[in-house]
Amino acid sequence: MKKDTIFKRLYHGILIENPSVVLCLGLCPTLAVTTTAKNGLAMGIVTAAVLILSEFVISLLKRIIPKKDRMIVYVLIAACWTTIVQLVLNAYFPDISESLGIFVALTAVNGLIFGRADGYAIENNPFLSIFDGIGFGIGYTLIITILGAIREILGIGTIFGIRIIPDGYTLSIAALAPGAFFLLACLIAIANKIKGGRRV
Amino acid sequence: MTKLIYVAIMSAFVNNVVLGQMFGVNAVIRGSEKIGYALRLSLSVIVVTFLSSVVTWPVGEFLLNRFGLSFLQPMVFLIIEAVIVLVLVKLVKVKFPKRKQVYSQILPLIVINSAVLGVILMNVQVGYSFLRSTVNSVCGGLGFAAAVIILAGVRERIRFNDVPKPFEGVPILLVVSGLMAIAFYGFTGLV
Amino acid sequence: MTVMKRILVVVITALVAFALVIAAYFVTKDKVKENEEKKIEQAFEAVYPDAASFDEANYRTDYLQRFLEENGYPDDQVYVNKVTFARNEVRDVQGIVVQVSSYKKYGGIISMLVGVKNDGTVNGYSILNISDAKGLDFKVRDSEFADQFKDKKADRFTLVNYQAKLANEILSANGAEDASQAVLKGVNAALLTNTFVDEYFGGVLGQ
Repeated sequence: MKKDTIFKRLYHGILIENPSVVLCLGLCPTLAVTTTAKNGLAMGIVTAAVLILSEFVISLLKRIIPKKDRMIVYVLIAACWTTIVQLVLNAYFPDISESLGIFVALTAVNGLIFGRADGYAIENNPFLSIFDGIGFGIGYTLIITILGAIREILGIGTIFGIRIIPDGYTLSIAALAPGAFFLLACLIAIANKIKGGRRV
Repeated sequence: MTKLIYVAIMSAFVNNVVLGQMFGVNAVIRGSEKIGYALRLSLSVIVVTFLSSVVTWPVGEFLLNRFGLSFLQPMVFLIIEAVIVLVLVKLVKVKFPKRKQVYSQILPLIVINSAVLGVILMNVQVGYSFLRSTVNSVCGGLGFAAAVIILAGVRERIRFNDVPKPFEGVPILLVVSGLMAIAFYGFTGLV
Repeated sequence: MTVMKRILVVVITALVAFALVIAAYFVTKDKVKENEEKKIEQAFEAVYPDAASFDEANYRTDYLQRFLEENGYPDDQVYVNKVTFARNEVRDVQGIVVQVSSYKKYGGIISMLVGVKNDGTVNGYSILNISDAKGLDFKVRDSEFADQFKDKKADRFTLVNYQAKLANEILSANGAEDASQAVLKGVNAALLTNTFVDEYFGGVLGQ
């Protein structure tokens, strides 16, 4: 029974309720830091880490958290983990910390975390909550890494730093703000098209 | 004085919080369903950002940075923001009891609006003066307002358009936002 | 749940959260400091590789500020944080390393080191930090843009968008115009600082 549900959690997070293209949560970092594939991957891992840790703690404390004030408790826990992750990043991966900039800190108010906290962790056991976090974390990371890769190839001409398209033939707008909006829209549209075909 | 006008135009238009810096996109997408909601959301964002910035700037400069505790900025600022929102909710409940939507829906969700936190963090991290921070915050809020209200208006206009099926819902809004972002680049000429 | 209990839970959560964060801070503090020092050391190496030693120059910052302002660089555009003498083995001053902070037009500051030889040749620059980095801003770190300044001598560099024809023209990095402009201001400010240091220390250099 449990094994079924771990798989279900992962399946849900990555495919059915993919946070980026289905639920459309956590759009800010998705748009802002996906200028390169590496940035996207890093941001995804950071968000996933904070998500998993927050869901775990919230699920552990689910009986104590008062129903009326649960929002502020979620915020405290998310902010706490975000800051810890940021400190670890500053110490051991300073170049990633610099590339992601302020958006690491903004993970504390990422809608994805609160969505899962209130939607799952507050009512289920800690073990499954971790996997809920892993599932949604992977789903999120997958999409923003893909978006980052697309923007990097189109905008700069490299992928993970390896040059594919020579400079001068690149579509700079892909790496700037408007490009982010357009490309994410396309990704979501593609997901909708795929989803529309299946009777999920 | 001219410098402040310059800062105001920069924050509101050229470097728009939503379309240029890409904070608060989620809030804009979800808040643009009805123009009325968008207006109330905008006002709330401007007020909360302004009040938060006024309180967080001194705390950030004189308390946290002075003692090398800048890593506590996100947590402390969030708590300050939450307290301000709490106070505002009580205030609105008492003074405008009929505005239920504002205090029960809009205000609480502003806490997780990355536009507010983004602006107040930037002010302290880039090291603006108090005056510049405050102008930046208010105009950042105005920029947010511009983005969400225009988007709400456009959304109403395209309600009966023939949008390709996969693009229905969020994607077409993102495309519109992208076009708005390009349009806002035009404001560069102002400065 | 009573109001008391609710408040208690929230307050205790906050306290525990702060405690954890502060603990993490102390654990990572030394590593962060080490990273920072290494970064600056590497940056100094990059801009003045053949210097035997560096030492800080003492000067009146307001004089330098005024000088920069007179030449078109007020301190809300760019300001000099520190000037360091680069000396060779026999303690002669070969040039200076200027740490300069340059404001980007659309917000944010680029903090960088610029190495300038006595005769006004730019060794190169090294970016320390870009705050509020947008999209392609980090392109100014790439050698493609940075090498344009290497070993070049000019009174003042200018930015062009299409083709660099004159010796003091620099081709802006595609998609990172704002950051390119800021770097340019920084390098020009460093050149002005070199002139200032020459006048200020009047003949002490190069002896």
